Amino acid sequence: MNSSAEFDEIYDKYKSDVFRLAYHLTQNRGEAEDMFQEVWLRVVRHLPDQGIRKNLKPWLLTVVLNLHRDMLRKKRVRRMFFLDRKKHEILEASSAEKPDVSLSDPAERAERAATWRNINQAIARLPESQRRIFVLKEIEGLQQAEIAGQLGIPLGTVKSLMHRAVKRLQRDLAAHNPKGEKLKCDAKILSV
Amino acid sequence: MRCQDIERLILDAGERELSPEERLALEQHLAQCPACASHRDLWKDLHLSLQKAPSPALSPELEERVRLACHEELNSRLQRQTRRERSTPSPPVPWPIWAALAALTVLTAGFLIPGLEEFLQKQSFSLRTVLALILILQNALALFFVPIISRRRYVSQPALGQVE
Repeated sequence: MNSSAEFDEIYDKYKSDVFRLAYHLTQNRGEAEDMFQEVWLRVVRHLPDQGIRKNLKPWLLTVVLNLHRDMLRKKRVRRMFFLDRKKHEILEASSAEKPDVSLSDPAERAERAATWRNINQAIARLPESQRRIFVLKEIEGLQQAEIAGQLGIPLGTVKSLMHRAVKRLQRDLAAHNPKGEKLKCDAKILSV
Repeated sequence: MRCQDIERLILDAGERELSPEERLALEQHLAQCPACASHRDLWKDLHLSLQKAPSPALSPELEERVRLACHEELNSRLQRQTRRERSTPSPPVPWPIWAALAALTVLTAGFLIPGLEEFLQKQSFSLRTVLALILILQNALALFFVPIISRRRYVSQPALGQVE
């Protein structure tokens, strides 16, 4: 990276993507902001290669994911020494999102905000491994094969974690969804 | 197919074209299994809600603070790089030092080996051997410091082109 103008171009293009992923991975505004700053400082320090720049978004996602992994490791150590409390961090997910101004009806807007808050809290309650996969697929829009490549894990593991994440989310959200009544499957194995 | 397989197929259907057999199996299963049909509906709702979800807002203060921090980092990197490019390469070691080193090696071989043989036989050093060893050690130390001293002198006297 050679000039401020070049940096600004990359920064303006990807800053929202980086912040969105950091926010959804951490589910904590303060941590997401720290991570956001660290990601961009790493970009300045470690982006000399022209080759990477052509395909910058996956590289940036990897930086965010690596930083998140480091952060979790540090947290685990702190928790081990009782310096941190898990409950306190995880469900701090604030409603700091941009309000949806496309809806004119305040009731509808409030309802949608409540729905999104419930979804956000359910995502926050997912185990880290499932949340990472779910966020990459559903929020970043990556294909399962791309996620497997990005995280260096088998495609089958990605599918399995995604399936578990969706099941868990559905269970969590069932209370808020009128159609979410629990059904018993009476056809465990159906011949086709 | 088991319900679990069908649920995975529902997730897969969002990102790839299912084969005719898979589609048929899915449709048949969903027609008979209310739990999987409910799973599909809930998944659709969740997927749609996520697509409409608002993005977390990036505060303008944070955006500007990070931009400034990165510009600062970038400038200091560029300054360091320029300084490195301007700095002159270290001077080569002068040829008399190489010659002296070669002579020392020969002297060491010439005096030290007979001295050691003598020590092994008599279990003591003669005065001649001790003097030779001291001389070799002194010269070796002097030669070790010559390149360092000459380089320090070179660095402390800037090149003519750099003097402003």
